[in-house]
Amino acid sequence: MKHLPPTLRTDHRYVKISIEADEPKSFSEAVQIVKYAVKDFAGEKGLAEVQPWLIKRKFDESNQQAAVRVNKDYESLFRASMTLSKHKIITVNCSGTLKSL
Amino acid sequence: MTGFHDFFIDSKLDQIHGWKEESVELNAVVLEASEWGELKRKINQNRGKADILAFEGGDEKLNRKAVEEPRLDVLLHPEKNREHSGLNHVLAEKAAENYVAIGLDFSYLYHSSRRDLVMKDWRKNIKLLEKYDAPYIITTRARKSYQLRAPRDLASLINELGGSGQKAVKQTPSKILERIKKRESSDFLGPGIEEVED
Repeated sequence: MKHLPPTLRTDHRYVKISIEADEPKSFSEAVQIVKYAVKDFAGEKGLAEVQPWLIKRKFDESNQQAAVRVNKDYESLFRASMTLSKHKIITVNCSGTLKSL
Repeated sequence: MTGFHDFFIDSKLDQIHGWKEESVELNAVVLEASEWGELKRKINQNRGKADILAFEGGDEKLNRKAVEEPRLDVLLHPEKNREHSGLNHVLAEKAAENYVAIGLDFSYLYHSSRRDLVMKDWRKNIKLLEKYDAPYIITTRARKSYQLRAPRDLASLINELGGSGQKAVKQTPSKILERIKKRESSDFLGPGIEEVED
């Protein structure tokens, strides 16, 4: 199938998050924590809108930091979900490109 | 976010990040009272000493009295332990008139077993406060470092509930700080009264 032109593709934001838990979390656990946090706050519809996607090569297990790609229009919803998460998750930084994160 | 102030966090926290440290050096006093006479007495006792005077809302009559009292700076969680949001159009109008900010307490929301109900009340209150242009702020009321939240995250939460995050974390606290400076100046005589040179 032919690729969509750049103007029609979904815009993303990359958010760097820091998970502060008693025990260090693995990548797959971090994925579950983020997804459940969004689902808890925004529901399944919200999860579909935010489209959180953890980037594996940017996951820092020692510092418990991860880069999450989210839909640009729903960055605010993502941040609000992280605030009310059961685990303490702090958003450290946000950028339009992964390189500058 | 520069210029973010959270007035009601414990000043002895070991780790304060995300906002200016001077905000926690302000002397903020949170009053509790069960009747108007008690609250009035506490306001008289503390107004001279405290930079920021807040009242823990929840009682319908005291919420009304608190927003009618210009010596108070903040009315915290008027919806606490109530079946309704604790505010109506009359109270919102009075809050705007006397510049008593309505405090949204994040710790109350976070530790509540029914977050949906608290957020329902917040949404309703924010809608009213926006309509009457009344001030509102959000506070973490953190007593330990892990209870702190980043200002942009708190602003996002307010945005999601239909309000203005910037207003809650930046504009209203800045105005409260301006009022403190005015109050401490030598020209200030009382709420709404000021000495002006010819």
